[in-house]
Amino acid sequence: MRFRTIKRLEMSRKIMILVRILSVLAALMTASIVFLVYGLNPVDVYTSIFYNAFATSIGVTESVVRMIPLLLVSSGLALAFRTGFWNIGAEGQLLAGAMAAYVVAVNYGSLSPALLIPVLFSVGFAAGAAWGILPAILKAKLNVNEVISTLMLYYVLYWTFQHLIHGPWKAKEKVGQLTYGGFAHTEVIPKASHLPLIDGTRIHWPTLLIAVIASILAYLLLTKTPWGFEMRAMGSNPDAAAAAGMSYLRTVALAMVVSGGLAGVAGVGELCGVQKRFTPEFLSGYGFSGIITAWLGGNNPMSLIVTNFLYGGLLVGGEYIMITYKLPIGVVDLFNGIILFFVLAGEFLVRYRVVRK
Amino acid sequence: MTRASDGEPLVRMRGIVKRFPGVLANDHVDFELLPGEIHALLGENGAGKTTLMNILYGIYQPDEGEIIVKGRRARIRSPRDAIRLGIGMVHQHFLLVDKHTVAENLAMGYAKSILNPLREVRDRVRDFAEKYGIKVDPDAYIWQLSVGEQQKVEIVKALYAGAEILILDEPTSVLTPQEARDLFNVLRRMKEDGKGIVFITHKLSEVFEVADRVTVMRRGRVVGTLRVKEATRESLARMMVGRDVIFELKKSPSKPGEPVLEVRGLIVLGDRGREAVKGVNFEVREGEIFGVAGVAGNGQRELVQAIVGLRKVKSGSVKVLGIDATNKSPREIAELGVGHIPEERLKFGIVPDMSVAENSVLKSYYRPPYRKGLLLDYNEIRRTAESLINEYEIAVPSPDTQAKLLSGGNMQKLIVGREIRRDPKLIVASNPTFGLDVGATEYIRKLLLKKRDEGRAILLVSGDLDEVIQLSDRMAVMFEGRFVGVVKPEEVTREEIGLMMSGSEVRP
Amino acid sequence: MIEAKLIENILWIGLRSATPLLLASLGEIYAERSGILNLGVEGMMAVGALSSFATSLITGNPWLGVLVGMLSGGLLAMIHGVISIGFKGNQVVSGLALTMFGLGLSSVLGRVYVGNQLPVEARFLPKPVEPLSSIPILGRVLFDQDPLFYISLLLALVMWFLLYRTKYGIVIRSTGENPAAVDAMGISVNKVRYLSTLIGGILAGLAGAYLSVAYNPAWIENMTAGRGWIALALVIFSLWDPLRALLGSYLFGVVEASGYTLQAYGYSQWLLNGLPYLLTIIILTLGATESMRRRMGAPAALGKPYEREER
Repeated sequence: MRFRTIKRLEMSRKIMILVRILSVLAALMTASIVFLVYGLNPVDVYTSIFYNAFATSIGVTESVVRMIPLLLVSSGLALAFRTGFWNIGAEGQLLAGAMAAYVVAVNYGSLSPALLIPVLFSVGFAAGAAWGILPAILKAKLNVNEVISTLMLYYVLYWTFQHLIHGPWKAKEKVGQLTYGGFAHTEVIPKASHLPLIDGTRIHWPTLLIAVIASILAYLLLTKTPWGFEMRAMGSNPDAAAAAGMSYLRTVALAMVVSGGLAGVAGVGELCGVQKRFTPEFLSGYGFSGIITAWLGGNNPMSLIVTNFLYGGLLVGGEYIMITYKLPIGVVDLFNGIILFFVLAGEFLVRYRVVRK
Repeated sequence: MTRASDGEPLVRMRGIVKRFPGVLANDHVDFELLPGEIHALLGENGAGKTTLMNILYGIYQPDEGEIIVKGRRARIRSPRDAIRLGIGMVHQHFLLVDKHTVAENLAMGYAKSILNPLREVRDRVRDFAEKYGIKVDPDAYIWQLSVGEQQKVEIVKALYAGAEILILDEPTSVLTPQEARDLFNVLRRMKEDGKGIVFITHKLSEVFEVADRVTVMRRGRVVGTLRVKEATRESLARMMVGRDVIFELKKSPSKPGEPVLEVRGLIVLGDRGREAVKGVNFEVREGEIFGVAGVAGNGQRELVQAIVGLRKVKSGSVKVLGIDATNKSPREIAELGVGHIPEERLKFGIVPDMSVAENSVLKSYYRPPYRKGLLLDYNEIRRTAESLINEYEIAVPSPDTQAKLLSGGNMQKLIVGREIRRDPKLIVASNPTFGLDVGATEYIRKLLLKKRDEGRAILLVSGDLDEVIQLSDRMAVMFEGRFVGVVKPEEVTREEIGLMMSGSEVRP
Repeated sequence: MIEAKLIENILWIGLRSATPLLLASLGEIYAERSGILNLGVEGMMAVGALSSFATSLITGNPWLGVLVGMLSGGLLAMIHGVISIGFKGNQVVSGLALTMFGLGLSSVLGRVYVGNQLPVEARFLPKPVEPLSSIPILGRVLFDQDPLFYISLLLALVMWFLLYRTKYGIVIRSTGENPAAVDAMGISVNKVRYLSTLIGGILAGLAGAYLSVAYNPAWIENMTAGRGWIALALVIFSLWDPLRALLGSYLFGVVEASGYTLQAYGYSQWLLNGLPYLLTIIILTLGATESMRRRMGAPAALGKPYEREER
C-alpha cells in the first residue's frame, strides 16, 4: 500500500486549531512513557498536574503568575518568527531586562514607586531591546545565523550574571538572617521597586496589564501597520520584499527591538514582581518555553493568552509533580520537546492530504 | 540506419490523464515516438506538453492511461525507472549543480567506480564529442559555462545513461540562432543513429527546420499528429491556438521625446566578483521602447538590477529624468518614477502568502492613501485591488485570496497592473511574458505598446528575440556584458542579430 | 614568562576539549551538506553522553558504552529525519524540539547517576605512546591521548576523503546544492538525506560518549554545556569542510583552554565560563564574513524540504 501526499490549497482555521489540540494531547500521552519508566502511574501524574494547576485557587493564580512572562515573551517571539527571524535567545533578553532593572532599583530605590516603576519597565524594555537588536544587525549586515547568535548571547550574559551575583552584587552575610545555604544571592531590592500584587496572590498586576496590552499591540503592529506589513513580507519572501524596496535591516531590527524589549519587560516582572532578588536560579526558562507557546498560539492575542495560561498551568502542575515525585527539572524540557514534535507532525497533516495510491 | 517509418514505436502513450489542483493538464492524450525520428511536440505555454513528457520521465505519475516502451508496458515511478528504460530528458531549467564541474555532475549518477570516479567520466565525455560533435570540457565548473554549453552537458548526461529516447524541453529558448543550428546538427546525427527524439517547442519555425513529425497540443488535448511535410505554418498555428493567429502586432511609428533614462559607462559586478556589465552606454526616451536582446547570462540581469537599485554599481552613472539615480535604494528609484516588472515573478514580484490586495500595494503601502498615520487603511487597499482586478481582468475569487494561488498569467497581470498604476515615467520590464500563454502574452505586449504610445519610456530586456524585435523601436544586443550594437529592428535581419548575439559586431 | 610546560598543558587540554566538538561538527557537516539542518546536536550529544555513561557503568566496558552512545544519537537523529524529510516539517523548529527532548531525556533518566563516577576500567584514559610521547611539548599533546582522540583524527581525514574524492561524496554534496538534479539522475534524495542525518546523529552521540567516558567520567547535570551549539557554529566556520573543521575545532579548544588556565591567575571563573560562547559568536561572525568573501556559502538547498511534484 503506497501513499501519496498532496498539498492542500487552503487551510481551514478549524482544522489548524484541532490539529494543535490533538498534538498536545498526543504529546502528553507519549510523555506518559517517561512516567512509566519512573514507576509512576501516568493517570495519577496527569490528574495531579491538572488538579493542582486549575482546580485550586492557588493553582489558578500561580498559573497566571507564569502566564505573565510567557505572554510577554511569546507575543514578541510571534512577531520575530513571522519576520523570519529565529530569536532563540529570548531568555538572554529577559535576563538583560532584569539586570538593568536591578541596577536602577538599587541605585534609585529612594524614589517613589509611582516614578520608579515606570522607569524600571522602560529600562528593562530598552535593555532587552539592545540585547535583541545585536543579532539582528549581525544577521542583516553579515548574514550571521541568528539561531546560534541569539543563543550564544544568552550564554554570555548568563555567565556574566553569575559572575556579578557571586562578586560585585553579592549580598553581605548578615548575622541571624536566612542565608541560602552559602549560595550566592543579592540583597532584596528596595521596597519602592516592588511591584504591587493582587491581594492574596503573587500576581504582579502592572506586568499583567502590560502583557495583555502588549499582545494586542503586537498583533495590531503585525497586521495593521506598514511596519508589520514589511515584517510579514520579509518573513514570507525576502527577495520580493527587497525588490519592493523594503529594508531587511530596518524590518528585522524593529522586530527584534519589540521582541527583545518585551522579553526584557518580562525580566523586570520576574525580578520586581516575583523574586525580588537575584539567585543563581533566577531564570526559569520562560525565554525557551515562550518559543513553544508562540508556535502553538500563533499571533492573535486571544489564542496567545489562552495558550500561555494553559501552559502556565502545565508548568505549575509540573513543578508540583517534580517536588512530589522527585523528578528533575529536565522534565519540562522533555515535555516541550515532545509537544513540539507532535505539533510539527500535526502541521504536516494540516498542509498535506494523504491519499492512497 | 533506421528511417522514421520503420519498425515498432519506441514509445507509445495511450489515454494519459493528469490532474493538478484546479486544472486538467493532460486529457486522454495519445502520443507515439518512432525510432530514428525527431518528433516535435508543439503547443503554447500551458498546453500540457511538458507535463506529458514529465510523466514519460517519471517525474509525475499519470492518473489514468498506460505507457508502452519498446513494446512492453512500463510503470515509470521515478526518473530512475525512466533512465533504466533508456529515456533521457533535458529540461528547460537545467538540473546541474553549479558549484561542481561537468565531470562531477556526470559522475554523480553514472560513474561506475567509487574512488576517483572522474577519470572514467573524462574518457567517456571525449567519446561523445567524437561521435556526435558535442564539445564540452569535463573539468569546467558549471557556473563558468555559457547556457548553451550547459545544455550540451545535459545532453551528454542523457547519452551517458544510455538513452535511446531523448526528450528536450524548449531547448532553443536559451540559445543564439547559431547555437540552435549547432544543436539541430547534433540531433540529426543522433537520429541517424536510430535514437528517437521528442522536441518540445512553441516555435513554429523550429518544427519545420528539424522535425519529421509534429503533434500539436492545446489545453491538455492532442489536436492532431502529422508529418511536417504535410503541414503549413497557418495550419499548425490554427491547431495550436484554435483560431487564426495574427503574427504581427500593429505598431504605430514612435515619436520619441526627451531622454528619461540615461546610462553612461556602467560597470556592474556579478555574484562571483567578476564584471557582469562591462561599460554600457544608452538612453531610453519618452514614447519609445528600447529593447535589449541576448541570451540570458550575458549581464542583462545585473544591468536591470543596477538600474532599479538592487545591485551596486562599480562605476558609471544612471540618471532618471536628469536626476542621478546611481546606487540609490530601490525605494528612492521607484519614487523617481521608475516601475519595475521583475523576471521570475514568483521570486521577485509577489509575496506569495500575502493576499492579492496586499500585493497590489506592495510598492506603495507606506504612503497615503494606503497609510493613515500609524495604520494601514485596508479599505483603500482593497479598493485599489478591486480596481486592478477589474481593469486587468485578473481571474481571482476575491482580493483576499492568497497571491500564490494565481496562475502565471494572472500573477503577471497583477504585477504589471500594480506598476502601471503608480504611473511611472520609465518602465523596466524583464522577461515580462516568460512562461505565459498566448492570451496573456498578447495582453501584456499590447499594454506595453499602449504605455509607449502615451509617452512613457520602456526598457524591455528579454531573452525572447521575437518579442524584442516586435516591440522595440530601437534595440541593443547584449553579449558578455557589452552592447554589441544598437539598431532599429526593421533595419537588420534576424541573421545579423543572431551574429550579434554570439558576439560578432555587425553595426558599430 | 610563559613556560613550555604551560604551553604543553594548554595544548593538551585544548585538543581534548576540542575532540567532542570535532566529532559533532563532522557529523553535522555531512547532514548539512545533504541539505538537512539539524539544530538538535546538543540533544543528541546529551543522550549519547548519558547512554554511554550508563552502559559503561553497568557493563564495565567503555567500547560497549561508546557503541550504545552512537546508536542512541543515531536514533534521535532519525526522529528529526522523519519530521524534516518525511513530514517536510520546519527544520529549525524540529531541531530545537530535538535539543529540548534530548536534554530533557538525559536529565530525567540521568537523575539516578548524578554524582556517580566511572571506575577506571570503564573509562578511556590517555595512554602515552613511547617513544613519541617523550618529544617535548608535542609529544604529550599528540601521543598521550585516549583512543577516541585518535579515532576522531582519523574520522576527520576519512570523512574529508569520502566527501571530496569519492562518488558518494559527490552525491551527498549535490543533494545539498540541487536536489532536483540528483532526483533527475534517478538517485533517491530522501535516502541520501536520511543517511546523512543518521551519520550526523551517530557522530553527535559519539561526541557525547567522549564527554562522559573519556573527558569527564562523572555524571553531572548539563553535561554538554552548550557544546552542541558550538559545534554548529564550527560547521559554519569550517565552511562545511571536514579538514577545516579539524583545524577550527582545535583552534577553538586551544583558545578555550588558554582562557581556563587564566583562572589560576585569579580571573573570575564565571566570566571564563562564558568565554567559549563569546568565542563562538566571534567564529560565527568570522565564518559568515569569510563565506561572503569567498562567495562560498552554505549548501544552496540547506533547510529546504524537497518536493518533486512542484507545479
